[in-house]
Amino acid sequence: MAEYSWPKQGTTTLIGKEVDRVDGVEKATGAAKYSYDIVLPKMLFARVLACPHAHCKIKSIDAAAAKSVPGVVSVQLLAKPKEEIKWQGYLLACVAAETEGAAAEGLDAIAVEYEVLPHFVTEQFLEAAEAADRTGKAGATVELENDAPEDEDEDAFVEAEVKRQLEAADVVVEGYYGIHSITHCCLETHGSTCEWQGDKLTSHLSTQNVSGTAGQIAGPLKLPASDVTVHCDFIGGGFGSKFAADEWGVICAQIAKETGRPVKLMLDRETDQRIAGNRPSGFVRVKLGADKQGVVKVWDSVQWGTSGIGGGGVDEKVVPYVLTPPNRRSRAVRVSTNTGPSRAWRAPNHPQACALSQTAYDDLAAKLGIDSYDVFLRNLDSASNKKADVYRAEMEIAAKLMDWKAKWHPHGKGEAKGSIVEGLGMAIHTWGGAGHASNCLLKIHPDGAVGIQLGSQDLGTGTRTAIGIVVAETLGLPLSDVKVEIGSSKYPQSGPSGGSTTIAGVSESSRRASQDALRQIAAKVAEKLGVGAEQAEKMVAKEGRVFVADKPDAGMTWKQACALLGMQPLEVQGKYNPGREKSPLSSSGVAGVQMAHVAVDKATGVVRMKKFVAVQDIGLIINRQCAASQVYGAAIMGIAFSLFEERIMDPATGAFINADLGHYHLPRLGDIGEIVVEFYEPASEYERGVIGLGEPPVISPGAAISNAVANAIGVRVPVLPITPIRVLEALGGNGAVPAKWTSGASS
Amino acid sequence: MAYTKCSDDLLIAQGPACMHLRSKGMYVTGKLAPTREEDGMGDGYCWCNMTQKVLGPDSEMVERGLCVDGRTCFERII
Repeated sequence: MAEYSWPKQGTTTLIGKEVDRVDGVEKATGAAKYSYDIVLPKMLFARVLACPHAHCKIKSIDAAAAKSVPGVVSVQLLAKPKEEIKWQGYLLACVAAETEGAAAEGLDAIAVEYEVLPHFVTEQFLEAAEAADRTGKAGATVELENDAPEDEDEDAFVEAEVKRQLEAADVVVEGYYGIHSITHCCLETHGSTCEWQGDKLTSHLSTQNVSGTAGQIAGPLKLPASDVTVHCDFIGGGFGSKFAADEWGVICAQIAKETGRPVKLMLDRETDQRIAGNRPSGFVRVKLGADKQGVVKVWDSVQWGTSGIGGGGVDEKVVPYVLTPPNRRSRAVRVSTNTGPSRAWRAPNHPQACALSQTAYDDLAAKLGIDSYDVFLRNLDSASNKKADVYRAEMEIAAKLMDWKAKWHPHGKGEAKGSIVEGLGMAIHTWGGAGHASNCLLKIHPDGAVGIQLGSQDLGTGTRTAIGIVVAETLGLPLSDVKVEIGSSKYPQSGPSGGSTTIAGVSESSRRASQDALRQIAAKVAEKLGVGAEQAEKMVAKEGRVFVADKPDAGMTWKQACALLGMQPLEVQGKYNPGREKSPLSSSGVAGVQMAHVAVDKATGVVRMKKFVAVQDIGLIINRQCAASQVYGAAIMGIAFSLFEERIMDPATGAFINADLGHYHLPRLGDIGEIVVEFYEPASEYERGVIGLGEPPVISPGAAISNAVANAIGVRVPVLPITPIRVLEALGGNGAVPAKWTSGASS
Repeated sequence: MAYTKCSDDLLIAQGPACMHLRSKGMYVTGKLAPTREEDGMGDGYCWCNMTQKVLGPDSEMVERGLCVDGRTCFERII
């Protein structure tokens, strides 16, 4: 049985270093071809007709006029008369034409009569949802130190025990917190370009699931999955929303088949915003009880939120988040709304859970007049938290980088410069990040050329670069000597990019294949040099040579070694299946601490980011530059949903009224402030192997920034994003939750 | 002795799942029809492989707890 390991820490040439992305120039210059960029001879352009109403019934739909529009080649009706539509943006029809203009004209010519039905689109107020009969039971999680007596009704016991714990607490904090739905805002909208060669289909699909989507297209088309190739060299954002081939991916292939011509169908921005993914909202009412030191003893909450018509919302199992007290009751209510269905968004559940609960811990600090840092520190030793030592060390690092102790002041007690006040806030997070299953094919040619193929994708992690680093490090070659091919379902299956699993997964398979290949080549070198088997096992590859580790002269160049392969290339499969065994190459489970420094103008309500510190453990770092990029990107995305992003639903019309990037606000460079990224990496982290990083650093910003604003102005702005109007409303309420936020009234 | 209780009406499986059920978590973990959300992997985000949307062929919602035997469009894996 072959053994796999990483080089000893401090001996690497590429691993852990700052390495430019191998495809960085392609991406920066526009040479990289995304699905949106694919242009094929005789290609048709398809556009979709989306339902304008949040809830309606189709009375009639007539495509006759559309078919006669010059340039229109195909019209597909996707909805039927009498069909009930339950959210705005639902697809009704698709038109393919010689030009995008003709396709748009064709859509305009489709005549649809609607019977508009009552809708419900705003879930911020639980009472309003209940009054509209749009709520349903969701999960409930209860953990108590004392067990229920055998003969006692469990519900009655829990009710009494939570009440008793709250009454026994030195201090009780009651709060209301929320975070609105946001959309994925992929720079490249969802869609594909499809072409057929006979019975074989190639879909140039914008996907974070290259190996998994061919079967999704084949299913509805009733094709063998082997007849479908999914190809995606570059993806312009996914963030969890591009795992499925999607209805429009199948329609594109169908029209291409029907017309015998390639078809491009990329969603327009409005439709993409409405139906191609959003993150569920979350709102919570909390009552927590703590001792005088700020250690929480009991948590009692009711949360609600929506993921669209199905209800859903945030998983109550992660509320409260990370800092779980010994007694808690977390209940959840699902709210069904006439809004586009949600999809996984970077770290599903965690950013919302953090924002819904670590704000309450900060309000506890404010009530007690204790430094928030100390309250977080004192609550680390809760029963469910296994990484308290890591959090403590990371908090210490973050505090130094932020100069927390010098800058912190009691909530609302900082020095004001005119109407400007400043504040600090922090939050902590956790994530898994175990590598996904991954296979690769490593091919080493007799001339020394090295190529590796995986059915993986680059969601932004720098996948090509990471694979190249692992192979080049193992074989002792420059990175430029390794040709990495990803982005095709014809390559060996590798997992989707989700759950922060990619870098650990592809590192596993590529390291395994490279070590296996090196062993085979080393054996040939040893045989050629006439050294014994013992010496052969000590052979290493470094700086373009293969040699006995402690005898650099006992070896040969890489090219000479590869010439010993004979006439045919050496092919080695790398395989990793995480279910089978604990691997020495990767593991899971990270912590992370983030701190925010903000300035708030109490006259205008505008919040400015001054500094954001992110301290993160991730095990062994493959590419320091790309790892840091992941954290920078996550921090920016976090600042975005903390201060700017919100899907705004109009309660009167049911419309998603800012479904474009003009009115759906994203931060600009000047809105970001200074971001400091620091990895927590004692030797023990390197020994854990590779762990995924994409998601954890996007979790804490909401709570950290909200806490910083509360520290600055002395009152909580309860709902994210913290827009100027919400700041002014909170200040006007003088710290109390404005009545309209608890009355159930629609706003 | 501590008291713990966790109910999750959305995700508790009611028998084997339909062979056309898909979720993000199924692709990430490689597991068929998970019964519960696993470490935030997104098992709650489901769609139907035959319609490629969150509504099944019967126009009802696709969900782990709903795509089970008894639904008109249900198909068993084995």
